[in-house]
Amino acid sequence: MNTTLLQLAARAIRIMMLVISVFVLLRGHNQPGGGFIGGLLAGGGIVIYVIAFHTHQLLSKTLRAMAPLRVIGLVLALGSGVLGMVLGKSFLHAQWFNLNIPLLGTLHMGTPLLFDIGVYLAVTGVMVMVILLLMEDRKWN
Amino acid sequence: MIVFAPIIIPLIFIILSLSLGKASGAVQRIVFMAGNVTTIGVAVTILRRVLNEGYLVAQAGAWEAPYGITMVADTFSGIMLTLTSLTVGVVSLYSMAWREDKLNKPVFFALIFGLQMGMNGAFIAGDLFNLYVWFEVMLISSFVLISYGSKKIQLKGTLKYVTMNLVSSFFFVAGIAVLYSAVGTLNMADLAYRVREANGELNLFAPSALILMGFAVKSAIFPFFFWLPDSYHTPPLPVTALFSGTLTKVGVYSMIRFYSLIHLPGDVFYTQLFLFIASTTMISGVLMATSQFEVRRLLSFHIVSQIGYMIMGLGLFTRLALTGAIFYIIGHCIVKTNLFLLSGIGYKITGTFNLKQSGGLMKHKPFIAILFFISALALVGIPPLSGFFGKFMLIKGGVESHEFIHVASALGVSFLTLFSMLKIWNEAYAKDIPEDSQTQDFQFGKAPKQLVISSVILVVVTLSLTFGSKFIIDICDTAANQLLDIDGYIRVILNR
Repeated sequence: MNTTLLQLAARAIRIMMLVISVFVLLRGHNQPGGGFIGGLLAGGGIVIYVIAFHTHQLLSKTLRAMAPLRVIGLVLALGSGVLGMVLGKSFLHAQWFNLNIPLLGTLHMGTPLLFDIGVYLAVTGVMVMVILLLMEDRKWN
Repeated sequence: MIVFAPIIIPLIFIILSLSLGKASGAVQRIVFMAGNVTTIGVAVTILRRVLNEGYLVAQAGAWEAPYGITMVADTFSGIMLTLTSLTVGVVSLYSMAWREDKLNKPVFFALIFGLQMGMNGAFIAGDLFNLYVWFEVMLISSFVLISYGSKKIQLKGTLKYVTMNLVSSFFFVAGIAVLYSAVGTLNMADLAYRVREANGELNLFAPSALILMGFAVKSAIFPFFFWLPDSYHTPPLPVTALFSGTLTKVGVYSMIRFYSLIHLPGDVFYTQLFLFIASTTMISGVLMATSQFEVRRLLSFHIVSQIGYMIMGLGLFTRLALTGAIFYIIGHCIVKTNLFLLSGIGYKITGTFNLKQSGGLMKHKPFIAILFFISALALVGIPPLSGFFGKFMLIKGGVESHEFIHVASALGVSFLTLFSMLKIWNEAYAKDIPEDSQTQDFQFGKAPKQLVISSVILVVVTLSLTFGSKFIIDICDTAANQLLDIDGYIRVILNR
């Protein structure tokens, strides 16, 4: 869909959606949000960009770039569970650390965030893949 | 901790298979088989430990029950874990030698592990909503598997399968929501505890009806079975074999698990309802099977028919009947998978799934004929093969409970099953290749050795169910006893 209006908007929309998706991901621990919703938002932003500048090269390039995200996401999510098993009492047992960053103060970080980041990456990868593959004409022979 | 292993191991192998996309085919296949062997090992370990210790309980995230998600394995879970992982392992071996439909792909391997993760999760879930989530994991993988290969005929089957299963998931979740509002918990042990505390005051009719609807579609019982034969004959044969052996059993397992918790002793309504469902499922499945000539459709209708026997065990709900039902599930899963695998071997040799056009297998391949003969008789329940013990215990249980109509229908259905097994035997094995197929310079094809080996493994398991029947029945009896001992289940999980 090569219209100038959509192309102008798509650049801005992509950046906005990616930034907001990270925001939603981070606020997800105690408030509405989280990895799944963040992943959907990020995927939506990427898909809008591909729709606006639709060429065959861009499509396959995006698909190739997104492919590792699924695996990385699954590894992170599984890793957070296994960390709970190694350091804590049970699978997925939440482990919390205080991260001291000079000048900025202390960050309270934990494995639930790691899990959410894994979900975020996996959902982004799968959403983009599914939508872009649906855009092609599938042949049922 | 080992309770989590049936979930974590397949997940690790999903990641491995997906990340080995560029490795050579041999490496991918080795990883695939390694995953299957590991899962079988874990399942057997769990079964052994459960037999020694009774229950294995773990709380995800170390949140105590009933607030966290409980994972619990008892003997029934252990049996089902071992059974399904064994079936998946053998079908995986078979699928690698199938050489059609592009099955040797990392994505296919990942999907098989996904299916296995979903099933294993459903077997050890101790929380109703968690059970639903594992059902979804299993279903999503099966949606992709059933459309794997993108043939036009599969589109039709897939649409039916996906629609029916989504509708059933909707009913299931709605039922869970209503149940939560009525009881205030979804942890199964806590649920059973509160139902017993209320002593019949709680009205659980609406949620159990909705949840029954969800399970009914998934396990293909009367009157919601029509999607199964319409969709199971379309995907690549190893996928069909896998689904027929395992997927409906997960529905039956969950049904037995859930209703044994909320089932109060002396509740005539559920008993009669399940017995009615059991008889109608048996009869309608077998009657429709007898008119089929496509071997995969015929066998699919038989799955429906034999689900009826398992439900009969749930309906009677005595120790003997439940033992019989569990034994029947074991025997049926192995034998049914093997019949599908053998029909695939027959397809490789004669080039068709249609019984009218095939034939001559007994003269050309007597060894395969023997394999089929044993499996078919075990399915019918000719003593001393595996189907007999299960049916015998079910029928004895039925007689003891004075449910003579249902006993009669179970016996009658066995005869019709024998009839349709004889039909496959006559058409595909005993008779010669029909004249009109012979004219176009017909030649018998070759079946790769690996296909025959996988089938032999399952026949050996079937025979060992006969020779080790005392041992297996003892395990089933322990499982049935645990299912009836709800107080023990509550005590272990909730510590009260």
